[in-house]
Amino acid sequence: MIKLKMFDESRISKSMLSLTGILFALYIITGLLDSYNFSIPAIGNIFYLGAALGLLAAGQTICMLTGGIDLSLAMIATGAAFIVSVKSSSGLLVALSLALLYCVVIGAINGLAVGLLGMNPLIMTLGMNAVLIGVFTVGVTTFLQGSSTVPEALVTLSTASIIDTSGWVFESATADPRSWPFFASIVDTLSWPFFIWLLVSLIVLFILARTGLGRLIYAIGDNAQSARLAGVKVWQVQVTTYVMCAILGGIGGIILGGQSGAVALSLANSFLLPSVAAVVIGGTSIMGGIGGYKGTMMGTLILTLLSSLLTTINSSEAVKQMIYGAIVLALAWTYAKISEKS
Amino acid sequence: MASNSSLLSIKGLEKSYGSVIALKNADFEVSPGEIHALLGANGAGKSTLVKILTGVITSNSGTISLNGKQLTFSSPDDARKNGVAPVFQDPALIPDISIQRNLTLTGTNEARFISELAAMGLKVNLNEIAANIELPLLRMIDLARALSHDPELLILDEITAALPIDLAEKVIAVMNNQKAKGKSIIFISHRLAEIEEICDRATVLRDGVNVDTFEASQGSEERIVQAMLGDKNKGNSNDSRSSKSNISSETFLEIKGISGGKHLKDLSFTIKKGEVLGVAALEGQGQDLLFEILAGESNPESGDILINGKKVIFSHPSDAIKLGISYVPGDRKSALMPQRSIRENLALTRFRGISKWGFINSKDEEVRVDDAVSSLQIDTRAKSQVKRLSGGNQQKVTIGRWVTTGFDLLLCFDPTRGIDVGTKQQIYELVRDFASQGKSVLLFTSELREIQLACDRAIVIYEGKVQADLPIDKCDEENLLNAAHGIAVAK
Repeated sequence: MIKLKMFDESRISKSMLSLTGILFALYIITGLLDSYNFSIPAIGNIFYLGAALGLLAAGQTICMLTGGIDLSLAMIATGAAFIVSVKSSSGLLVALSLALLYCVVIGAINGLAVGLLGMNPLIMTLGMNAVLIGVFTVGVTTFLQGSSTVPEALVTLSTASIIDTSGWVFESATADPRSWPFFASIVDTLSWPFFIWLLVSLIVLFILARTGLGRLIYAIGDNAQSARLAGVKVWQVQVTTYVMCAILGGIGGIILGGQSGAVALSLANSFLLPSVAAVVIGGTSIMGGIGGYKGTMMGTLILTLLSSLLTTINSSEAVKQMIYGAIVLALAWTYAKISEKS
Repeated sequence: MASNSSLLSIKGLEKSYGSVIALKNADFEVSPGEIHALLGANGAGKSTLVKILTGVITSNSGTISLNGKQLTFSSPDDARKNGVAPVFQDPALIPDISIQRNLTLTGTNEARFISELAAMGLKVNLNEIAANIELPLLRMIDLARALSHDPELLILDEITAALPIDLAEKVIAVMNNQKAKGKSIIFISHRLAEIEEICDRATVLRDGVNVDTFEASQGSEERIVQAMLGDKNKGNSNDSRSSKSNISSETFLEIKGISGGKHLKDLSFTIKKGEVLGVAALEGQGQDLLFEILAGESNPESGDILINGKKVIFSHPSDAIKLGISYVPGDRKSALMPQRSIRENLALTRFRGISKWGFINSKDEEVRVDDAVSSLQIDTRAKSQVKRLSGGNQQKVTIGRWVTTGFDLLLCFDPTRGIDVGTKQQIYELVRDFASQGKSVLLFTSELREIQLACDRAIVIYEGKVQADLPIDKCDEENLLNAAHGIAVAK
């Protein structure tokens, strides 16, 4: 009996191993520069800060696996956060539904343009990004007037720990677990953004590995003609992909908004290129068809750690940008080298 | 003819691509003022010979002498300067730039080019972008450009294949004119009638060797076909057919008067359940379009497709698949996902409708995939990415995909092209197995001997129509080749 494994385990684990190595090396360097970074709350902070990027990069991963890309993702994220803030006066549920609708519509337009009209995804989503900037710039003073403050509930959700200890009452202070340092650091570590990211990640990993849709995402990225000849309506997969990407971006945007407390139109701008970089560092081919979200998660953590490292050494913004860019390029190059050999 | 009076003399020419030998020890001579036909089946080495002669590629060994002087051409430009000008099978003009700029690229004199065209009674706007010009006129432009260089030796590769009668006659007039001026021509064509009419001599290549050279005259087509086929023609029985026919009286598919593209004109035929119908044709008779139409990849301009007596229209390959028609395209690369595993490639069609996008039933998938792997004997050593498989194994995966899905009619377009002999045999057996299970197969092959090995019946397409519909005992290579050249075959 011949067993056919779904993936080439050896290949996957090899690249995951090198990514883990890079992540670990970065962590050691960060810790050596400031020993606080070795503490559990510091680790929790990396996950807390990485969550929004991780969610955006999840959307980007799916798009790039199909051979596409979504450069309107930052404005989708910002827009979702913006809509939630402005419409929160009508109730949180209404505001969230409107944000979801926004994501679905923009994603569907991107997907239809790429899938049915055959537009180049790079150009299509870049154009969409420009249109959205225009719409929101006008909207701020007209149809989207309102508070740019993120509703309290979302701020709490985006910043608080999963374990709410505020109401706990104990007879003695020593019996109170909040006074135990280890417990306290665990509480700090398990932030809601991290939890949401983890949950969404599991869903994304499941879809990619265990569902027919996941297979088709890889299939059309590898050879769309092959999928078509096998009877797959490629455009349907593409529309679904861009809608999923937009929803993931929207969730990331809302968390980002909650973490910032107020929404500006530039909210997620600085996350667009990192969302692509995280995917590429994670080993997903920009041509599509090969890679996955596990690698992107590693890429997200590496970029987040890198960012905090640059903050630790207290460099100026310009120097930070240069070092950040150079390291991203070096990582991408290293990865290309590694995958060439295997 | 003594070699010292030859214009062109080729001796012991050899060329191999890796382990594939295209030419071995080929000799060839052309006299001044001669029209010499170069003939041979697909893969006999004609194109390789032409490419070496025109400086596109260089030979591994052997000599080329022109006017008694030994030469090697390092580039097409080099060949042109030495008086050898080709007109290739496909238009050699860059499509996105004007005719004028194309002429500049080859250093062609514009005035000379215009007068050459005018001599054929044709005109062209030099500022026109090449892509906007119809194919037949492009071929004439290619010819006029070659003539502008005043070649001692003109090479015409299948130039008449894409031309209507009036333009083909103009080409023949040009050839006779060149001949009258004492210039020589190498003429490659599948139209045997033309060769008899205008050529002085013919040389036949087979498996990279020149097997016969003779005066071309009326009635030499028999000799040409014999030389092209060689010993393979004799005694190839159908002993490899492992299973018996199980043809039902019910018709599965009927094609009524399909027309489309440049080639298909009013094509009709039927396939019964459990029947393997062979399709034979020379290149460019519309067979590729026929398969695409049946697979739902293209639409015919007119005509009907009937499945089980009911008229159907396909707007997407999924429509054809739903009705039981599966397509194995000639280009394996278009059917495979090179970076994905054998398993994912085999299972791909299982997810073709949105309703199948959910959770994968791994157990069921595994069983079906393992089934296909063992029944097709796919070598799974390089299972993680199908691009690492051999051509034969890749082809088995493209067929195996439909084994896991199930089908009523399998469309196989030249499934054994570039595949080793052992795997070819397995594919014939597979096709026979499908038929014995009551499934139909439509099999186009460019290797005519395969028809008797795998089919129950064959149609031959010539100029977009069914030229002959032959029972299997009449499907010897000679009959098929004759019909493929438009020569009537007695039933």
